[in-house]
Amino acid sequence: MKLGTRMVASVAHMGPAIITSIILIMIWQAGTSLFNIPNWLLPAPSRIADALWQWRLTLVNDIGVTLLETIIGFIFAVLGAIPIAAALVSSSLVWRSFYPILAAFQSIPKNAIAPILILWFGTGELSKVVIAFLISFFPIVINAVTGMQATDSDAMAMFKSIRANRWQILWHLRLPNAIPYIFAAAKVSITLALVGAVIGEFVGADSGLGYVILLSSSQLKTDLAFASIVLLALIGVALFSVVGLVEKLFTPWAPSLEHMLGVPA
Amino acid sequence: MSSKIAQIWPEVAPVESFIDFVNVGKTFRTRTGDIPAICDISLSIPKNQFVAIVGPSGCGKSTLLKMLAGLLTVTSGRIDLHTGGRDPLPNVGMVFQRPALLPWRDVLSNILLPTQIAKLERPVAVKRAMALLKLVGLAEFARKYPNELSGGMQMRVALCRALICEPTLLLMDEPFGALDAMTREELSIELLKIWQHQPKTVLFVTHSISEAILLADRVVVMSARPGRVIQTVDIDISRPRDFSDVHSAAFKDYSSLIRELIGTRH
Ligand SMILES: Nc1ncnc2c1ncn2[C@@H]1O[C@H](COP(=O)(O)OP(=O)(O)OP(=O)(O)O)[C@@H](O)[C@H]1O
Ligand SMILES: [Mg+2]
Repeated sequence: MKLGTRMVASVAHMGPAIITSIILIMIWQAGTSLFNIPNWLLPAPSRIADALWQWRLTLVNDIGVTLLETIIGFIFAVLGAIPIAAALVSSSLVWRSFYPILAAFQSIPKNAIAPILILWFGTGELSKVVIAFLISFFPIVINAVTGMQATDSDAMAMFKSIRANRWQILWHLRLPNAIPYIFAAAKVSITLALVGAVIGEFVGADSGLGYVILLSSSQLKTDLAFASIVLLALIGVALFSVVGLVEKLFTPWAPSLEHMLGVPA
Repeated sequence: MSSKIAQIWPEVAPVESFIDFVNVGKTFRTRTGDIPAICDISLSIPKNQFVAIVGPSGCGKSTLLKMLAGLLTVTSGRIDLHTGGRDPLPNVGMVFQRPALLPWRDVLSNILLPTQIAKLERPVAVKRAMALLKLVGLAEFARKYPNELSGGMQMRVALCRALICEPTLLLMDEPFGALDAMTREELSIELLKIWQHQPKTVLFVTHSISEAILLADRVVVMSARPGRVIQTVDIDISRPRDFSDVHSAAFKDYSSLIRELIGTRH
């Protein structure tokens, strides 16, 4: 299947969603002028677009800051979660020592400790990276553990019959088995990491989209706040898609989307 | 004593056994109490014999194979393996009722897995794998993923994987049970060819009495749980065998004998 045809197919697939969005934006635009809604309360889409253009130079910087905090936090979460999950499933002593503690940490609302993290790590990017890390780490650990344990019992018996040792079983069976589970969690986690970075910026920062939202809404520059929210939504979708693309690269054996949609190859 | 027997019948040299089950018993301890699965099984299997095991569901056939493969411990009695070499455990190949292929590996790497675990040289292993794939008629599917193959093709791949390390002992637990009758017949004939080509000791669990007779030198008939050996039946049908043998009188006699053995002591 050529790239061109694939793009046409995916645009055709997204067509209804695009049309719905355009209609909603048009209703919003018409509604704000029809009912004379003040700009500080709910800016019209055209005003938001204006603000985006007007502030584009500073916004690019803020996008970079928030994006960097999110991605670094997320990457550390993935890199940390996989070996920890592997250690948990490979030794019952490690499991009994650490899993309950992990579960307890997981149940702490991460936004509740954001102020403390700012206190510890300062108002710079580091504290946001830590929050993004903490908020995206646990779902990946939990899913990686589940994936490593959900191995096929016959496959496990086969590995034991050829006398594979614990590490070989981990490397050749548990880890690859967990890959789809890890990606499922990663898609949720990368969005959570973005939320974490923004929460951190709300609590204390001098740049980033969260900071812009906080500052501009306190100054009643609501159109700029909305512009930042639009950017956050776009970043969220983009990050989610990137993880989806990486997933496809990592799982060439999985049935493709075209296959499931019934689009002829 | 043995020397005395040898004196009396000097022409009957005792067949050297490869596997000896000596009063083997297995009890599963569960939350709801102990489940005796296997009770007092004694059985000697000579090298390169093809043994089929039949018996009612739940009589411990899978348990027997798993104990032999070292996947389960023996509760009482013992299993002696005369491997000859220094390694007390034989080189085992195992095939289960489901192909149990790894979906993330293509056909070739699935077959190569045991050679990676055993740290065999890759070029040698690949050569062997391709030869096996050719033998089962899947040479051009080496780079396909398991989910692109039919059930019968997947089973053939599982068979290749079990054979890649040239095992001296092949354990098969209802390997063709999930397949349609035609594929099943095809695969049993292929298995016979492979076995004739590379002789090895085979323990083959099946629900199909005719499959057991067609394949085996000896059919072990087991009773319902707790499993015991009711009788072992030697199959004296000349080899090589094929599907025309199914219609012979001898085949039908064996079939009704085994059916009777299973039926009478349920
Ligand atoms: N892990 C286990 N824990 C408890 N009981 C078990 C376990 N595995 C098997 N059993 C019991 O042992 C008995 C024998 O099981 P096994 O799987 O060997 O039977 P089988 O002869 O292979 O049956 P089938 O023909 O249906 O495959 C069964 O009655 C089962 O209930
Ligand atoms: Mg069974």
